[in-house]
Amino acid sequence: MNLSLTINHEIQEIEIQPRETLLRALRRNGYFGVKHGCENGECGACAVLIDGVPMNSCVMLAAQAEEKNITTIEALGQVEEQGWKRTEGLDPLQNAFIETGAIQCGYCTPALILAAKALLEKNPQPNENKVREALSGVLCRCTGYVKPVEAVMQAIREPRVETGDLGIPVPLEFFQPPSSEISYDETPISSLQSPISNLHTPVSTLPQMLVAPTIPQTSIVGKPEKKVDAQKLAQGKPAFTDDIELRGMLYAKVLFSPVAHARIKRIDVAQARALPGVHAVLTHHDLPRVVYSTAGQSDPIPGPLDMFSLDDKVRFVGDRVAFVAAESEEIAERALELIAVEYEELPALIDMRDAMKADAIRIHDEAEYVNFGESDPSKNIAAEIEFELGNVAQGFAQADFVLEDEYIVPKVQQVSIEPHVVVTYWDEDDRLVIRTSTQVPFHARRILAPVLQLPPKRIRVIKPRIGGGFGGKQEVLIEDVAAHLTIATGRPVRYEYTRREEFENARSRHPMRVRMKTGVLRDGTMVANEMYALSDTGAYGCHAVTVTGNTGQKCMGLYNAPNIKFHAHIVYTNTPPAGAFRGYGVPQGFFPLEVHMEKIARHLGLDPLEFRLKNAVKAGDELPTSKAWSEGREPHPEVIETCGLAECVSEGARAIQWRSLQSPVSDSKRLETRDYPHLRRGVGVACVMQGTAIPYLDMGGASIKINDDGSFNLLVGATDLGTGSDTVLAQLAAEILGVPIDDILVYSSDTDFTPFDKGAYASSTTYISGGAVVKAAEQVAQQIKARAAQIFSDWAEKHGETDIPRTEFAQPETFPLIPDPRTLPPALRPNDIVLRDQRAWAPDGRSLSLAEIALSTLHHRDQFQIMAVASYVSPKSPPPFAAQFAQVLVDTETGQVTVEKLVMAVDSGVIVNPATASGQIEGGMTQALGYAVCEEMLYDARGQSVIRSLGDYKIFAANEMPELQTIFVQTFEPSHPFGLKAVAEIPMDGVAPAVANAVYDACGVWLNEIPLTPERVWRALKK
Amino acid sequence: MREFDLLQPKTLNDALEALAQNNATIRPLGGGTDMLVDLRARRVQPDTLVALQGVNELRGVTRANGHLHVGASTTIAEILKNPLFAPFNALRQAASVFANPMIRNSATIAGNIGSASPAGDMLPPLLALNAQIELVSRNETRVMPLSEFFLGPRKTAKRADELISSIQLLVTSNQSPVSNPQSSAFYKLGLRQADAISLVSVAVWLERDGEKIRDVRIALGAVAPRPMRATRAEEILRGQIFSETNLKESARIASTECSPISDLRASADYRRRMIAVYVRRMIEQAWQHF
Ligand SMILES: Cc1cc2nc3c(=O)[nH]c(=O)nc-3n(C[C@H](O)[C@H](O)[C@H](O)COP(=O)(O)OP(=O)(O)OC[C@H]3O[C@@H](n4cnc5c(N)ncnc54)[C@H](O)[C@@H]3O)c2cc1C
Repeated sequence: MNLSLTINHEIQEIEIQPRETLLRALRRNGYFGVKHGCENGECGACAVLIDGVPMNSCVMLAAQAEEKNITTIEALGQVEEQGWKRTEGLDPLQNAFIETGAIQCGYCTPALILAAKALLEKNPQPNENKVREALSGVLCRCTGYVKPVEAVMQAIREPRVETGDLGIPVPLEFFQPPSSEISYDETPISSLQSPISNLHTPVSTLPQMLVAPTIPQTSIVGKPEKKVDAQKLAQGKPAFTDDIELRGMLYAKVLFSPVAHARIKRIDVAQARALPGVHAVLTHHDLPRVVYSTAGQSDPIPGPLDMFSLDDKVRFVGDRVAFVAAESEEIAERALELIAVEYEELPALIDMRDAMKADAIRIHDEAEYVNFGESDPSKNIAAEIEFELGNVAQGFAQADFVLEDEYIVPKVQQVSIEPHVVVTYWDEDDRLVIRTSTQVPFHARRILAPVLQLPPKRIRVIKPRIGGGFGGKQEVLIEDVAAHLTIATGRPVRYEYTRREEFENARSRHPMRVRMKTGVLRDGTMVANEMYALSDTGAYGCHAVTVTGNTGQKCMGLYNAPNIKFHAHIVYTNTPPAGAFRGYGVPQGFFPLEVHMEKIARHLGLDPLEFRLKNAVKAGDELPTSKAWSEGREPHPEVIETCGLAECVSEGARAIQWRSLQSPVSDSKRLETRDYPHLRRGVGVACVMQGTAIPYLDMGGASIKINDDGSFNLLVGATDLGTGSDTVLAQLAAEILGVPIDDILVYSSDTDFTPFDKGAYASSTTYISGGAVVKAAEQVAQQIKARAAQIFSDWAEKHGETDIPRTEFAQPETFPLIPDPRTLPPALRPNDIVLRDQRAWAPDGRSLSLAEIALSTLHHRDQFQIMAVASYVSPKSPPPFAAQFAQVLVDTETGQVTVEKLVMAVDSGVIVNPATASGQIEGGMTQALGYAVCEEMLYDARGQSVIRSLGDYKIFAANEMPELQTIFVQTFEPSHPFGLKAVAEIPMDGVAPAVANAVYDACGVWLNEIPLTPERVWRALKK
Repeated sequence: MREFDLLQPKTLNDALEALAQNNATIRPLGGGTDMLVDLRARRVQPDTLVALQGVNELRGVTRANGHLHVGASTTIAEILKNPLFAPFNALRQAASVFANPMIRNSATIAGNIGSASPAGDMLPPLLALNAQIELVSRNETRVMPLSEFFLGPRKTAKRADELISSIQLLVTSNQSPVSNPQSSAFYKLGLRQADAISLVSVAVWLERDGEKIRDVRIALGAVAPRPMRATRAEEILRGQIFSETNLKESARIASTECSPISDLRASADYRRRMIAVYVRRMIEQAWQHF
């Protein structure tokens, strides 16, 4: 049917099918600012304004929008300078989002901005609750909403934001030396907040910054610079994988197994192939049988090879059976229905506790299986890890008190709002281009090459902007589907998971059952600490060894007991495979460990904070577990050089208004009001640590070259998936090159153009890729200085004869003053030159602009390209440390836990960008909060997921958030040129135990299993 | 999504005509927030959809003869905005935790009723407020109490050729000419605060006479195959002095009247206990708000 739609004030005649949603119709017509993350009305990424009212365009037929005014982000504003043309500039809201750091991956940004726009049209001065309410229809998995809310508030405060300022000012008073002594604030908690749970105290978007006096002065590093990609994301520019349409593109769909474990006896695709519009139907009969692992890790992959693109056996509900490419998704779906499969069902192994039983069915019996380490598919063991430092048996014998308990942590999902999506096509050189939403473009190329039977040189992987990953895209998960179909058809193919497929088929966090046994002396000295983890990797062993190894390596390394033991079995089950998820095994270990620590402290009557600090590692200590295990490779002992844990504990305690917790359950924790006799409030803590990259392994490369105008191209293989790494890397380069961040044009990443980088995982990008950027920038700086020194010296020799390039870039008044040659010193050395304010400065005050130097080297004499490539690998993985605090309110009649406030004080070394770093902390805490209280992937007895949508699997919305507070305790980590450590993963680690400990503090019950659903808490209270 | 035809009538007559003519599978389309999800999941596969959006007769909220007439196409957002809904606290409370603000802008009240989900959020308040539903077809118009409309999960008394045209709420009490103060309250318990499928929901309506509860209605959601009234629990309170003892007893009875299921989200036992907690709390809340 023909439809006339008014889009952004223009009438468009478009041809649609009645069933076409407004979302599809808009994107098909080039309005790529309208995103999609579920197509079920749940995520809100597809928001548009209909007559000024925000609505989900995915649950509306295009025809329903006829005769209405449709507004998309494309109508809001454009960058002001468009060559010779000027526009009115960006909308104040867009500017505010850019300036407050409210944009992380940017995938939900257009929707958030539109929702805010609609609110402000109706109510120009909303309060914060109204703003949160208005934004609550749009789910954001990156930010924790602190900065988006602040952006709207800022847009109200300043109706017209001037452009060109330097980002968010960090008030000077925030730069204070850390207090050396621990002090607890004694302010009574009951004065804090209203008992009504959905009221919010005002947001504080800027983290508190504490600095060690040893940190050197910098001008760009340490500043909350605007994200380099924020401008395009605020405009909803077509920057993501799916935002292109290629001529003749086909749409892929996959037939997934309806049963948990079976052999495919027969598969008949004749009818599907015959369906008009279908271009390929592929089954295991059609594809080469190449065993591989989807885990995006360095070569050789530390894990078993146990998977095929398509196999004659299915191992979980949702395993792949056949691939289809057709002219539309509808035709592809129809084709799936026409495929007839006969399964020979096998017993399904769903519960991880059954996996190692003698009579358990064997999940991997394929001949091609490649073992790694202790994997033993005959026993359904994907990996086994064991290490012991000292002798725990002896330690327990010495102990005055030994506590043993079991803890259960669930399977949860990354839930990036942009689903997994890939577009593949042959280029004119018969090379396969894979445009994909990945965290690991280089690993993807290497891993896919054998699977596709193409040499790596005939594959090019392009990583555009990524709409969040959180580990879910550290997996070469769906690229092969589209690639096989492109090979089969010769046509471009697009493949994207639906949200349901994300839940049923994509990776998740390994669920574990963890036994803790800890022995302490009466004074609280820990003498032995032991952890056993049973970890469920699901049907395939991707990341099996490394995730669970980190559970032991990171968690058991925090407390410096003389006797430490870790043992883990990682078993196969007929459930969807687990994989990498922010924190990478470490949150699974810290929930048990930190609840266990709290129990011991309470039992012995010790202060929980002092007890922890007494046993925790300190600067100068050898990290106990560093010599025991390292990612399944050779371990190297490592000394901790910086540890701000004590300061984190004291600053965090101050912020949450911690008070001594003498009586385990006291009625004083009851709210002092008659109306709420059933409510109890409590606070809890957890101490945590993570790592920074994988030592001796993780490598990142960077290349920098100068352009005519003194700007630079920075090419990195590092994968910004919304974290802000492009920005932080640009800041490092800008600091060294003495230019504003705008002069660094960052590109990431493309296997054809950018140097190798292992990708975005292990909290490594700022440290590793940043190290490469620093090295490359230093070399480029050296080349600039050499030419500058040469030019300055030439003047002296030539008695004032100038070699000063006169170009349009150099304004007359900025010309260097030509000094009297008789006063000049003899030849300058490169190291005499300083780069600052886009100029190269001689000690005597003469200067040249970088544009002049660029023109000199590129055009005028002794021409060469100023450029350098460098790479970085670290012998260390310096741990960041943190104290995480939670304040909760428990409804003792219903078991509902409302988390009112989360505080995280973290030592991540020097913070390169407080805005992006605190964004990481806030977003990480929010994901961790879901882990603590509501996120859980559930399966029925047959292994069928009962989670199919974001309605079933709740992630936090803007109006449900507790207050979040971030404190950076900055140390200077000497192993890195700028003294930095990791930020990204550590916020995942401590929220769940802090919340569980706070629940105990509030009402005296221990919970050994997360999430703390109302019923779980209620049952514990009933006991 | 399967293919279908889309009709966009401009008048109620045209819409009813279409429904009467079409003997194949034909379904009305409101805001589409349930329908589009169901179409995509292929839970429904109609040949024809009749979009009601353009039908003016189904819009609007008016007060006349002591009744509030709520047009079928009234959105949940309108319930929050329009002051005519002020007397119906439970309905507004339900609207305020319904989905999220964006969905509320699309979702209609008739769609919520038409979907007849046992967990539909507007349904317990409408039952507690003793709403009447008006159904129209080409040949007849009938009005029935909403409590008779729900037959089971996704099953209703509506015929395929009928539309829900409006909902009617009594503004003053029909039992006494001098109207007594009335009050209502609603709560939904989910895994988080809003936008979650309810584990249980409770709506109550009270009419007060001095220290007595003159009349009461208690409605429960998500704990039976359809939204239900807890009539035995009401009996305990009706005509009685408001007292802690009566309240507890009524709450206890309510929890025995429902028949919740156990699933992976919550056990039947827990749901039952929560019914008791929230029946008590909602009656207290409604009582306090006179
Ligand atoms: C993200 C999301 C969150 C949601 N959250 C909630 C929630 O918190 N609580 C809740 O209760 N629901 C929720 N829903 C479900 C849904 O929004 C509601 O049921 C809504 O009221 C449906 O209204 P609609 O106008 O969109 O109906 P539609 O989807 O258009 O129609 C729904 C059904 O009603 C029928 N129908 C519509 N209008 C009429 C009419 N006039 N006469 C007869 N039949 C009619 C249709 O044929 C269809 O069977 C949610 C949905 C989504 C997508």
